[in-house]
Amino acid sequence: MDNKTVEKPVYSMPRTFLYAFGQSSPIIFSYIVVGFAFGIMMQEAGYTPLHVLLSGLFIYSGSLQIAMVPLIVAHTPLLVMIFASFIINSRYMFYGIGYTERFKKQGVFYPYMIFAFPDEVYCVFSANSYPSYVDPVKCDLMTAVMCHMSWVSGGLLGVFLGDVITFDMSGIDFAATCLFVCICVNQWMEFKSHIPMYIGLLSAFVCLIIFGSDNFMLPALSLSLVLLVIMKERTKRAMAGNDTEEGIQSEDGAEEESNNER
Amino acid sequence: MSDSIYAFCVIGICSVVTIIIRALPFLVFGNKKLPDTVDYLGKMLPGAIMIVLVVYCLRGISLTSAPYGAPELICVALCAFLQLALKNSIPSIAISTAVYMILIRTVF
Repeated sequence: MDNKTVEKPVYSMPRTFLYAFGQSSPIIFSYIVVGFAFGIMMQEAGYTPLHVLLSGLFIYSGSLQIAMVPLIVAHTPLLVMIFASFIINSRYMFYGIGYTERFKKQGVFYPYMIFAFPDEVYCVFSANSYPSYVDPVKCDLMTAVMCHMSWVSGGLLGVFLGDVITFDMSGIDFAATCLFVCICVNQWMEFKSHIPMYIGLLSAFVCLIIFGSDNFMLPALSLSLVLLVIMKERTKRAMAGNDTEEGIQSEDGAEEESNNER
Repeated sequence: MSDSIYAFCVIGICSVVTIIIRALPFLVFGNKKLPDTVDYLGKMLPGAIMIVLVVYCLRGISLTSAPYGAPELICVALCAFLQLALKNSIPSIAISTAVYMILIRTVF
C-alpha cells in the first residue's frame, strides 16, 4: 500500500475472477458435457472413477481421451499407444508458439500453464485482450484452472451418473464442435484480415483430400504455418488495416460492433 | 497384466506424450527473445487453427452417402448464425447441440 507507483495499474480481484469465469463459461459448459460423455464411455467399458480422474487430471485432452477408450478396450499394445497419442495430439506443438512470454509471467505456475493448454483454452487466450481492471496474469491462471477442473468434474459426473442416466446421450459431444464454430465466428469478427482463416480452410481441405480424415491434422497445420510465413508481409499489411481487398471495408461494421460488445 | 493396470499404463503414456508435445514449443522458444516471424505466427496461427479444428471435428461425416453430413452441416451453420446474431457462446452451443441431438434421432 505505502509504495504504490502511479504506473502500476489497479486491478480488481473480484472483477478479474468474474471476467475469467465469463470467458471460461462456454468452455466450462462444453467440458462438463463432453467430459460427461468420456466418463460414461469409460464406465461402460468397465473402468473405475480413478481411471477417469487420472485421465482428466493428467491427460486433459478431449480428443485423445475419447479416442483412447476404444483403444484401451481393444488392448492396443503400449508402444502403439505412444504412437497413436502422438499422432492425435501433435497439433498441440503449434499452440505454444507465441505464448512463451505470456506464460512465463506465471512464475511457479509456468509449467502448469504449459500443461493446461488444450484446444479450447488456446481459443480463449488467442481471442481476447483484457480490460484494464483485469489482472491478465491472474486471469489466465484462473481461466486455466476453472477449465481444467470443469473437465475433470465432467468426467467424474459421467462415470458416477452413467448408470443412473438411461437417456441416450449420443450426439452430445457435438458441443465441442459448436464451441470451435463460435470461436471461429468471434475471430472472424475480430481479425482485421481474414487471410489466416482462408489459409486454414484451404490447408484443411487440401490435406483432408490428400491424407484422408484420420491423418490430415498435422499436415494441415504445417501447411497453414508455411503459408502464413510465405504471406507474412501481405497479412501484416492487411492486419494493419491498409488492405482494401476482400471486402475488408464491409466487414469494418461488424468489427466495430464486436468491439463495442467487449 | 490385468485390465485395470493396463488401462493405468495407457493413461500414463497418453499423459506423458501429451505433456511432451505441449512443452515442445516452450522448450524451443522459451529461453530466447522471440524472432519476429514467431511472434507474427503466434498472433496469426489461431485464425487458421480454429478453422482446421472445425474441419477436424467434422472429419467423420461422409459426403458420399446418406445423409451426406446434413445434420452436422445444418447445425454448424445454425451455430455460426446464432453466434453472429447473439454474440453469446452458451446459447449458441446449447441450442445447436440440442438441435443436432434431435435431428440425428428423428429426421436422419
